[in-house]
Amino acid sequence: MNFFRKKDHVFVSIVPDELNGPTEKLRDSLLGVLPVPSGNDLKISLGSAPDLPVKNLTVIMSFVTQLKSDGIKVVFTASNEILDAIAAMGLSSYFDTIEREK
Amino acid sequence: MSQINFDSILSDFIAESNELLDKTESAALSLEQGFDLATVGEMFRAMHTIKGNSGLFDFTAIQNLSHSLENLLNAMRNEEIRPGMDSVDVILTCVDRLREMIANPGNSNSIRVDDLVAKISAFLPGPKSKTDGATNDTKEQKQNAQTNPDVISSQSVSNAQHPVNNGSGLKIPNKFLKSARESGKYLSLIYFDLLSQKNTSVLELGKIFSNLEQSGTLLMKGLRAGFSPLKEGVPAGMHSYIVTLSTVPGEMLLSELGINGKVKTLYAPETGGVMREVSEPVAVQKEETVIQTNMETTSMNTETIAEPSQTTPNVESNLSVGKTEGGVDFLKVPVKLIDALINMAGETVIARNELLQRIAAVRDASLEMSGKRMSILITRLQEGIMRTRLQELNSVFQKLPRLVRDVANQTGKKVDLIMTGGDVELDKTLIDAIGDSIMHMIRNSIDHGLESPEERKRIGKKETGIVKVSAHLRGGNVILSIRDDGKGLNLDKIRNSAVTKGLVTKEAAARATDQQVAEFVFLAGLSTADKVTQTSGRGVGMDVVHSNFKKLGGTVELLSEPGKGLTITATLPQTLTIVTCLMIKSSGTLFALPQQNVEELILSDSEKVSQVENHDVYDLRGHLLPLINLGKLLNLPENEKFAAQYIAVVHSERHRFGLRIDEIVNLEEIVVKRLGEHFAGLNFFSGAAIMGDGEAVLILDVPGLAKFANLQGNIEEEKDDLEKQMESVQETGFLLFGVFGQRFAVTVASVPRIEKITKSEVDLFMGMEVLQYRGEVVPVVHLDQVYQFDKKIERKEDIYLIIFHIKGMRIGIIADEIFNVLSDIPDLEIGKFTGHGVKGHAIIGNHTTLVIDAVELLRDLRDTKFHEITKEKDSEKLEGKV
Repeated sequence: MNFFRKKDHVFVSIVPDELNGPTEKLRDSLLGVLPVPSGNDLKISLGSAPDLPVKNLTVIMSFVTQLKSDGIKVVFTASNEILDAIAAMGLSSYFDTIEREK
Repeated sequence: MSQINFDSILSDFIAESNELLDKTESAALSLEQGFDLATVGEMFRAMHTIKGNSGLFDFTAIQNLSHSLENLLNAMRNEEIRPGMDSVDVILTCVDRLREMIANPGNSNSIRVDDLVAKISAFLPGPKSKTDGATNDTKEQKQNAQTNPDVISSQSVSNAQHPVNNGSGLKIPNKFLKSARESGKYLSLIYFDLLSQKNTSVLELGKIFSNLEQSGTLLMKGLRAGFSPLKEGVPAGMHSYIVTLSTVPGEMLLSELGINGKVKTLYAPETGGVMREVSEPVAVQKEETVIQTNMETTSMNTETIAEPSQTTPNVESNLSVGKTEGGVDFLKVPVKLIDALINMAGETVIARNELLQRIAAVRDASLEMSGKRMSILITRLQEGIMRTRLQELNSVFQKLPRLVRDVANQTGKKVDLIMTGGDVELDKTLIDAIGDSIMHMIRNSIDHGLESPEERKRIGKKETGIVKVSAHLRGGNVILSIRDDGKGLNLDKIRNSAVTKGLVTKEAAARATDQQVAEFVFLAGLSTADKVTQTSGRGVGMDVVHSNFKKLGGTVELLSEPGKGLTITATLPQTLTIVTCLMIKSSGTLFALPQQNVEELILSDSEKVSQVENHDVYDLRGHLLPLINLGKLLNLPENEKFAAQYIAVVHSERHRFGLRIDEIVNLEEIVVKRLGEHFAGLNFFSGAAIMGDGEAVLILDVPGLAKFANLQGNIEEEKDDLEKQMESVQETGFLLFGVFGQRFAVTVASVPRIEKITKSEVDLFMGMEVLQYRGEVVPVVHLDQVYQFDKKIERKEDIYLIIFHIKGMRIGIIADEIFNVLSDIPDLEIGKFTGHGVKGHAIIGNHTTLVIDAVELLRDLRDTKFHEITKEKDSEKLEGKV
């Protein structure tokens, strides 16, 4: 996972191997991003990963929930297919902003 | 080689596009009240269809505009923007432009759409916001959220749009239940854990949801519990719920999808509309019927789209009207073909009548029996064909919210529009003909009738005025009422205007009663508006409305209450073609009197005839009934052998009077033929008909007769008296009767007639027992088949038929004995016996008597198809025991 901070912004990029890897490992990586200072924005990107297990999506959703409870605004970036699937499942409104991966 | 009929495809395209635009317009108006993904989805699909179809014809302008609109709706569907007043305005403007283009598709490419495409683009999230960094986006969105209601703010997403429902009070919109009932499908609430599914990939699960949504099966979805914060560990589950509408039970649907979950059936067709008990609290939302429009909020709340968004966040329904699963429910049939069938049905009825007359002359029992069967079949065939032309008034009503919104905006008034009776069906010709008139009357009500908000406030009324549009059926007529709570008609102003414009003389205006002055508004050229506005004031309108309704065999009447408002009541026959008429003779001349106007027939008793102010009146059960002698009124030759010995008690919307006639011939279904223009001035005839023997008869027009005889409107007073009578009877009257020795009691108020018949008069027709009663086929109910009880006595040849009239249909209950009418049922016990219409039981004269609400019972049975009664006779499936 790649993650860096720039001023008030935090960028998290999860690589395909991690997205499709063990759930515990993904959780540990995401926990490493925390805490995000209050008032910051965080952008989480799944890159061009074509798909991911539902279980790992729930970890990302939990991560987002954690951030939102800390007052962090979350921008989510993923491929069209993943965003469409998330919208179909009724989960897109969990994110403040959604961007389609270029 | 077969050739494509391009014209036919083009007319299909026009018809379908207009239908879709109507739906889009209604849906757009409802978005002003609250965001609903289902509604946006419906609009999106409509635009998608129009875009696709227009591409087939190379109508590029239509294609471009519908494509742009589709983009806008897609962005709303994806929750990228939220509809607000501005975007709804743009949608409505696009709908208008599309209508204009579709009305003349050949020229559509010459109509410019770039202005609207540009307007739409302004609403769409630009490429900058998608590709730039999060910082810019967030700031931009923050700014937009403050200035543009069409952009979803971060706050609104995280709080209001959170798709979580913890199961404690999930609200299911009533329209889902209605939809399930109407389509005969299963409505299910399904709970499942997304983590415990076989398909554990996001794309696979997304595809399942997406397919459900596209097929119209998925109505609602969300989470039962939110996600726990990451610090609390790996989430153990992801509990979702969906609400589905499917042709198969929810359990089967789950199995087909390969999903493990728990199903609560909210509606199953086989339970006849009863919701099964569910363990989770599930509430069905009450439908809103009020549509609100005003300058400040321009909020709309419609019957079909109203769910408070705060209680059902993220309702992503995909109900699509007319969409079917695995079958075709509707066929498009050219109107010309239906008209040809109706004409043929009319001619068949005439031929049948002639044949029946000849059969009657032969006096052959078996031939009569065959004739009777053929007669019933032709009646059914004719009824079925007539039904194909019936359309719901909703097709007109759905245009009203837009109209009210626009007129309210133009006039600066606040208006609540309330509509009821949109499901009333009317002949398509009539619907097409009256649509503009209804809209005109509403426009008038808002512009002329309702006061400005300031004025209303000053005089102690609510700022928001009310316009009520209602429709209901009464005796084969559709009664349409438009009522406002404005200032009513200014009779002095109307009187002066009519005189000033030379429409009536000063003397005539001075002599005219208030009611007659009110009816001056039907004079061509009369307007009381101080200035000509976009909406009214040109003095063209109500006269056209009046003549439109009149041309169709209807009437328009006004009831103005100064300071309280105006009620316009229009009456129209439900169909134009075939009418059941009582054939009567006066001075030896045969006339047809529409049965829908006839209340009762009585043998005239000369002692009860008296004179009041030189007018004949008849003492009918203590009430004076104005009498009209048809022969005298029409100047028919008088002859001693013609004695007006019968009185037909008839009514119109405003009049009730007795028509003195010489002879009652029979009841006949007659095919109405329009009268030529030479007869246009004869208001007391509504048409003519050719009888079975080739004789032509004139059809009497009851309201016209009343006017011709200068009768004063008396129906209001009569109604009051009648209501009082009904109230007293309902409080006190119960008819006691016996069926195979078992005693029953029904409220007398609901019994119009008891006929003594013989057992053999009851026919079995298509598995249903019927009786021919006054030329009408009356289905017959045997209470021993409805409620299970021991037959204590044998049935005699002579029996009784208690005839009820429910929603325009006669239904009879067979009784062996009629005992008495009781003023009250003492000690009514409730709850021990149950069944269709059972109110309870009582001991009356040492006999256990089942007290039933016959109207409720018969309504139940009518709704569950009468022919099933006899089928279920042996299987004893019908509930209820005595």
